[in-house]
Amino acid sequence: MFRFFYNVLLRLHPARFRQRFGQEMLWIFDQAAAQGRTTPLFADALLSLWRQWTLRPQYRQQPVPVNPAPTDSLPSFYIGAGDTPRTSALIHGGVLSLIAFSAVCYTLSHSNSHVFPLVGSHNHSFSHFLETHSVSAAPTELSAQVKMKPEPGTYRPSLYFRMMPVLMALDIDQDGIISASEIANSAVALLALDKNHDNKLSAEECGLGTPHPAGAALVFMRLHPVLAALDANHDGEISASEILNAPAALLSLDKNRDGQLSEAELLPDPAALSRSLEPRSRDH
Amino acid sequence: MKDDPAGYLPLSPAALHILLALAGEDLHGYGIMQEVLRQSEGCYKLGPGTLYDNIQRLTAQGLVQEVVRRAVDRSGDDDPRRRYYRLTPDGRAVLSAEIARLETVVRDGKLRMQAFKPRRA
Repeated sequence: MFRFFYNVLLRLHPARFRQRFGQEMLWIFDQAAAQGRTTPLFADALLSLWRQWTLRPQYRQQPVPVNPAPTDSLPSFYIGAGDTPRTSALIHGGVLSLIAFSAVCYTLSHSNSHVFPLVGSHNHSFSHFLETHSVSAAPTELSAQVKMKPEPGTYRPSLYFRMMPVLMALDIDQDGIISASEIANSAVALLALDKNHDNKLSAEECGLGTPHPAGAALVFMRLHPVLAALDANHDGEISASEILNAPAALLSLDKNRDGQLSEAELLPDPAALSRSLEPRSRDH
Repeated sequence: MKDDPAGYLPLSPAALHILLALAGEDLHGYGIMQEVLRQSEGCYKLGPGTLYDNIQRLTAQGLVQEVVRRAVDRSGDDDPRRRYYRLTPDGRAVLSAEIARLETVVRDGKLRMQAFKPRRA
């Protein structure tokens, strides 16, 4: 403990004096401590502290002499810096930091015009990738995935997406996948389709063409999985409460549990389609 | 260094004792302290702060120089933190001048004391 306080007193000395004599003074303290006579050294250190800062300004400005290289094989270290760096060094460092920061910002801001292959764990991001190719690895390791991000504007929605205003509204970034964030924001996206502002979506607002025969609205809403999921009570329209419940309804379509909806999960099942149409066909 | 050693005189007690301690051999700081204690028969205790303040000044004046010791010259218990100091020829000249001055002071003092020795009634 005493050694710590003595070391603190030494550190308060001017840098040049401390670098030159600090270790020796500490060594002398160790010698005195072994004999149990450290109290006078504290008084001496305090006096020295006052003396160096007030009476010896001329020695603080002199450069620290470089020790000659030792003739033995022991390595030596030279400390050439004082307590505070030179002003010119600070300015140079600031300019270099600014240049480096600007270069990084410029690179980041212009990096989205290229296709970058991303290698990493799965489900890193939901909305910016099209295809996923899994590579089998050792049983104990995670599978590696390579995902390609398309250039902006190069992706064209499929015909099914284009004929379904609901899907086009849900797929905000137009990448052909209803991502987790898009599912979470689905209620707001659906309200954009509410042209007559009645807080519900009719089959026409969901994409059913007009004119259409009677009963076509129910068939249309039941035919498409996304509409069937949203229209929970199957009354042929998506009510306000169903719009509010859209995120949960959409997640019911997520068969592979990856938190997003691909086109494969949204396309109507041909078998289910035929089954749903059979009673209606028989009616007609 | 100044051309005339007398320009450094009179030396302070600490500087005089340090130069005297180094007159015999190269010493490290703790050795100088021990030697000063021995020379003064325990009357003058030099602390590390005072010692190295004087060494800093004497080194700047060219009266003392630091000596780098090779590892082969160090004894087994020689701590690598130790730095040895040596009296330079200029320092020896200043010390000689100070001793001569002190001899004059002592001689003069003795003469005066004898001249004013109280006579017995």
